[in-house]
Amino acid sequence: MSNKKVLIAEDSSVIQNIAKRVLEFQNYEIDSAKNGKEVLKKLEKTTYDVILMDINMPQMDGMECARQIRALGDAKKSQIPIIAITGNAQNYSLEDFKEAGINDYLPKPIDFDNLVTLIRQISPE
Amino acid sequence: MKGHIGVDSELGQGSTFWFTFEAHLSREVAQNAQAEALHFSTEPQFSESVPSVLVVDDNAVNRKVASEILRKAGCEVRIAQSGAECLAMLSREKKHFDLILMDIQMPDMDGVETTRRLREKFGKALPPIVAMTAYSMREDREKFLAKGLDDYISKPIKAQALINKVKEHLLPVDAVPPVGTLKGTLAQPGGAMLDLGILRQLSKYGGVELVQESLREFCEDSEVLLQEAQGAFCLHQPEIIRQKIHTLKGNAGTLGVNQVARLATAMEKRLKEGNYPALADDLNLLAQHFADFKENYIILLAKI
Repeated sequence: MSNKKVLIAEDSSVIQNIAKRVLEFQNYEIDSAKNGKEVLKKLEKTTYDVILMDINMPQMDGMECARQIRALGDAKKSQIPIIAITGNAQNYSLEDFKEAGINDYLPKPIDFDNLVTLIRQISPE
Repeated sequence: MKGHIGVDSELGQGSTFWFTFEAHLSREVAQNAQAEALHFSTEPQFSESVPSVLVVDDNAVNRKVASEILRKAGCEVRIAQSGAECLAMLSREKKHFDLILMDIQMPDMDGVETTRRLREKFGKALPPIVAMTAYSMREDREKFLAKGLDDYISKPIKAQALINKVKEHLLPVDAVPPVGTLKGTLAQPGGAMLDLGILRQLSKYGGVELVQESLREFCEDSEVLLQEAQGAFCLHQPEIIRQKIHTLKGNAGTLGVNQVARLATAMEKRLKEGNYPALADDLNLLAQHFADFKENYIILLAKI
């Protein structure tokens, strides 16, 4: 059985590296992107079990990226579970996230226990 | 007196009335500074090494004051009397200095121009360059910070401030303050400077090594972010400043660097609101909080 693949989309390399190491410790295989456009590019070539996505990214933010993922032609890819990481929790409600196609969210500063639990719960099987 | 006068006012917050004028440092101040330096305590302050400092200043009294303070604290001090001499010294001798103290207000080639030429010639092979500057208009400070200097210290030079500044720029092992000099609150979990609770949680998932590496990366990243924010300030680009502060806020919050995170949060909010007269001061304060953190975090980590 191969490891679950997680794509981390976050423009801060400090936070990228921490999330990557924490999840690698849990035996996930990690890939990274710095903004929404890069996420979509990666999805052209491969698929993931979960996408962890910062909302506030340059070029294309998390909300727009989520909408575009949900609009993809590929049935499997368009359904990939997405967890948003949000630095300004009061900007969007859970309803706003769900409307954009996001499954759940984690506020910053990231609680690592919650991160691990959520990823475990949300990825299929 | 080539001055300006003005007011910065924020509705509901208060007003700051300010004026500036240009004047020469009086002899009396210089002599007092000299007296203070000579009465400064002779305890050596660098535990493991003898830092090597180059003092660049055209004024003999200033050179003497800075040298005395540093020698008494346990540094090896060399001096250059001008920007040109400094350049020649570094080219000729290939000597390794731990820090260069650079007077800004020098005739012929000032500190900013000297630094520019040093960077051009030696690039990354330079030690930290700390500007010595008489208190001047805020714009001047931001100018030389954006022009390649790493830090500044205000004249008249206070002995302990100078030593702390040198410590700040040495490698961590030399910058560790003596046991017992940290304030009590800093060492508590959830304390203002560093939240050990968050770091303990992180260490569960990647060991102390992950914590150490993350904090090291945070320090490197933050230096760059702060420089970029200060540069954007000089170029009047508030949106770029906001982005850099936003990233710094996120990084600091994730790692429990609370004092920095809190100020960055407040700054981001004020930057969004638009009118922000205290921005320059807050940028300086942010840099100070970060410097305090950088100086102390290795000791605090021992408590995880």
